[in-house]
Amino acid sequence: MNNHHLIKAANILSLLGIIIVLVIAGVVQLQWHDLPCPLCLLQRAGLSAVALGFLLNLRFGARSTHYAISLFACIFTVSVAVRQTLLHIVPGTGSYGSAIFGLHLYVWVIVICAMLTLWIALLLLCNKQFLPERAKTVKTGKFITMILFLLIVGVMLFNIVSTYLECGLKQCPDNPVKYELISQ
Amino acid sequence: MMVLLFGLLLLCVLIIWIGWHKLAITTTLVTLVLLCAWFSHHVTSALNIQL
Repeated sequence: MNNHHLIKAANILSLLGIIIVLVIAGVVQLQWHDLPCPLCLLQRAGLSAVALGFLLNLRFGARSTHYAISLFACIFTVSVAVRQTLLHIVPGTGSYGSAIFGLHLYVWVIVICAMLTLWIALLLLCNKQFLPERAKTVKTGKFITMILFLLIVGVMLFNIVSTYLECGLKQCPDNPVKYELISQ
Repeated sequence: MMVLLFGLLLLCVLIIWIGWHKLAITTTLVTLVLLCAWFSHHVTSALNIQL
């Protein structure tokens, strides 16, 4: 396995990790009836945007532009998650949603984004992935890439439908308790 | 509004799938800017800041 294949495997794993996180958020929403707040939805959108950088790498070959997109999205997502954490950081101000392993989902997003930023910086250390002759060898793993494309499309479609049912086309309520379009 | 932003993200994925590289990057960056704009709108309205 050469350097290029390693980078491709790393991109596939990163994308798969983000998809798993988004699926967990969906499962929590459906299973525990934990409706996402506006900031939660922005964090989901931010994580989806991080995934776009890895998707670009898998489709067109590794480029610094694609990693930059993922890093921008990481910074955005962590900003939203920090904002939500700060809203609840003072003791007695309560929290939003359920906790997993003692941490709320928005705190997990901070941890995940910090790890993703470090991970992308590590991937950027490998200069050989940007060489033109390496970039032309993006042929292997097309089947896995196709499955990942379908998975991310599925996750995004779920988010579109659930958000539409929850808020319609207007601004989402700060503390949603029901799906606006279903429970009228 | 969030529905439209998620829709834009889905559009980005489809453009990447089709293979239009420059359009994919442009659309992704525009979506990121719109996400930032919506977040800042949310923060300023929550803090009741008059800009």
